Amino acid sequence: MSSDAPRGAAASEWGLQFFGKVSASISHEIKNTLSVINESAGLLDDLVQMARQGMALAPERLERLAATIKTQVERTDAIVRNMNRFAHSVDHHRMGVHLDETLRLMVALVARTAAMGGATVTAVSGQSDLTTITAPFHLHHLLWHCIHWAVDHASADKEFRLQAERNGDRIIIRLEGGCGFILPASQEFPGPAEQALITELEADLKIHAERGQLELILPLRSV
Amino acid sequence: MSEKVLLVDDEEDFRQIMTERMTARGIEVTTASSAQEALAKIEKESFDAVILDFMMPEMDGVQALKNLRAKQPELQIILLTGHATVEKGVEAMKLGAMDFLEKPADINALVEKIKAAQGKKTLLVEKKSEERIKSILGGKGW
Repeated sequence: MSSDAPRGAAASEWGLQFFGKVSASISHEIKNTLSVINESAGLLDDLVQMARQGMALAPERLERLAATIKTQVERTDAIVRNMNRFAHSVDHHRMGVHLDETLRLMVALVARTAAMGGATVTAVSGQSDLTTITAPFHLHHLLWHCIHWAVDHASADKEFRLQAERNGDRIIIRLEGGCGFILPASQEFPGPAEQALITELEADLKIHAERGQLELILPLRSV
Repeated sequence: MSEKVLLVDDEEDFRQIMTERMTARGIEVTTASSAQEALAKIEKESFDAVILDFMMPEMDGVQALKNLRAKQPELQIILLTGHATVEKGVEAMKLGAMDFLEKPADINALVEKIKAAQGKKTLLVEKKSEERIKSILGGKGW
């Protein structure tokens, strides 16, 4: 079997569901920015109608509207760029990935769903040249599960930081924040989907519940 | 009498512009940036309609809808949703929403729904008053 070909359950239904969830989240973000742009256009229309009826047009009002539209266009552009990068993560099963960029992308992709759980996730810059060869889509997928698990199980203070660092011939991606995790009586994480991804990535996952820390350890493979 | 509306959305720009547009159409607008804030506001003021973004941080739309209706069963809630399918519409109605609109929404359609909400709420309040009067009269044996 080609080393580029996906294997096992990691490439299955779970992967498709993850792709669907991220796509749905992105589409919702775009709907929100389009709403603001739509209403801004509508307000411009309203102001034109009022001007036709003799009301003075305040240039500052138009200036603010233009600035709002510009901000929302920039925001939409950033969302689409992230969507594009995520979509391209399936171009090859394994490829060189830049860890800082990967974590920044993840933070952007989880922002809304994490906020739904009352959490914020921030990417902390690590070593700027840290790269490895891995399966980027599966890495995104596993990080998605880790972040959402952490959000659901944080005891308090749901402000998380995500950072990657090199440790010898390994890379440690650390998610930490808050006052620890509440572990359910029957610990079901990592579950079958996560375990399949861990196997696929040749990784290790450690949960330090008292510290509120998750560590994903990947092999460092030179690009 | 102008309609009184509570607009609930976590996007500040959206709240500002919608407020301006609805005010220009004679609607009195109060805003809230979260479902929690909305719940606090409906305790202090009466509204003809609540326009509720279905996906906001910290409380999902279903829970927000249920909590608002639990506080004020006669509250008329218009949902703003990113994806208005027939299935979602039916689900929203079952949860007690008066109506729903897909974003980006047409302001004229929204204003029509707000007027309808005011009418519906007036009827409900009148019916409640009528029942109360009947109950008092019944109790007095008149």
